[in-house]
Amino acid sequence: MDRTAIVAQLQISLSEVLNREVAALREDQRLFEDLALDSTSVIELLMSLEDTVGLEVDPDDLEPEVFQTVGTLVDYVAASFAKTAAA
Amino acid sequence: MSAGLSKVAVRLPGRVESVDDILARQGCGPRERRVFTTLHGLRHSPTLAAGERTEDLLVQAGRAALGGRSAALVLYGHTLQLADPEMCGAFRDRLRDRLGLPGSGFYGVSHINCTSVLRSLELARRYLARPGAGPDERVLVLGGDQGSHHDRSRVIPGLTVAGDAVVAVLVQGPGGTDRPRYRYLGGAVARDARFHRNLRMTRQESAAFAETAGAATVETVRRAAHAAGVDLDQIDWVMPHLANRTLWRGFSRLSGFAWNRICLDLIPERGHNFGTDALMALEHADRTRRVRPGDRCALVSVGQGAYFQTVIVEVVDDE
Repeated sequence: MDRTAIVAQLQISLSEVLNREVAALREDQRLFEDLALDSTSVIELLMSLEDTVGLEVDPDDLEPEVFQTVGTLVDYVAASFAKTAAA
Repeated sequence: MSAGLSKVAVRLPGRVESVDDILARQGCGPRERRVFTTLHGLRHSPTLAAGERTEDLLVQAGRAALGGRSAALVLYGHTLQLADPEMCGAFRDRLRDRLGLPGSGFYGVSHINCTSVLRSLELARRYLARPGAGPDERVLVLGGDQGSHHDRSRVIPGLTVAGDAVVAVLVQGPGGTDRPRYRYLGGAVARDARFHRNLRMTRQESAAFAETAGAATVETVRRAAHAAGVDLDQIDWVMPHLANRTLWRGFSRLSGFAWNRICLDLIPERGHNFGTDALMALEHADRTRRVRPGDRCALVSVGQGAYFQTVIVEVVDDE
């Protein structure tokens, strides 16, 4: 799954979690400040990504930096896929 | 000289329920249930078996902590509210009689949710330090609730599921003659009444509570360490409130306290049991020899509402 596809899936999952239509995402958008996620909805977002794209979340890898921006979250998802593929 | 604590007596009910089953009964969907198991690390919840009563577990734990000794006062820390007649009448009298303490004072400590048990320890210490207290006076602290009485009283949405385990510990004053297992070093308390709506909080309030709780917990533990005359980095172990692993990941991140020095072993098999968690973790760490004489342990509890309580104890040399 390339970066563009991850961003597109993120948009779908965010719309579902926030229960509103989320416009096209930019990688510099901040999850909490710009997109109004909170600590609960961030977790729901991860669960949604597990369900839709087969992301496997390892809770011990989840540093707060992951949730800074759309771009950092995409980095995390891409790295998780790479880790799974290498295993 | 400071107050001393006996070994902690823990009593578990006769069966466990799967956290997933409890949440499913409450109507939680698969995704929400997965948050509890995958991220929070919660699998099982101790649950009373048919015919078992919390009162019986409290008596067993209390007798074990007493070890044949007496106590001038019994403090029962509980999260769930009991009907007044229970605290003032039959329940109190039955418990005192069965503990062999018919003439002792008996008080419930409540309305501070899951900090009630550690608060009871603090109250016991203060009681025993009062002017005129006898050297052989002791206070028996009991803790635990019957969460399984109703699923709505044991599930905190998004955060945890609570079980029915109970604990007891015997506290003696500075001049006490028993050999304690733990020595009291200091403590701290905090309150943030913005979250007083508790289980009736909105989703936004719950999220704000989750974010506030991490920082407030760190701040309370730091103050308790200072009250004990040390810094946080001189604390050897955190014996945590076992609500979930996520809370403690945040604590470790915010405070810099080593993740592997937070004793979370019991999260999967026992999880959260109201105000008993920190004492239960201490008992586990001691029994499995994870703590050594001289180790300083921060016992930490967090209550909805919100309340924060930390007690610092030091493990005393083995005989």
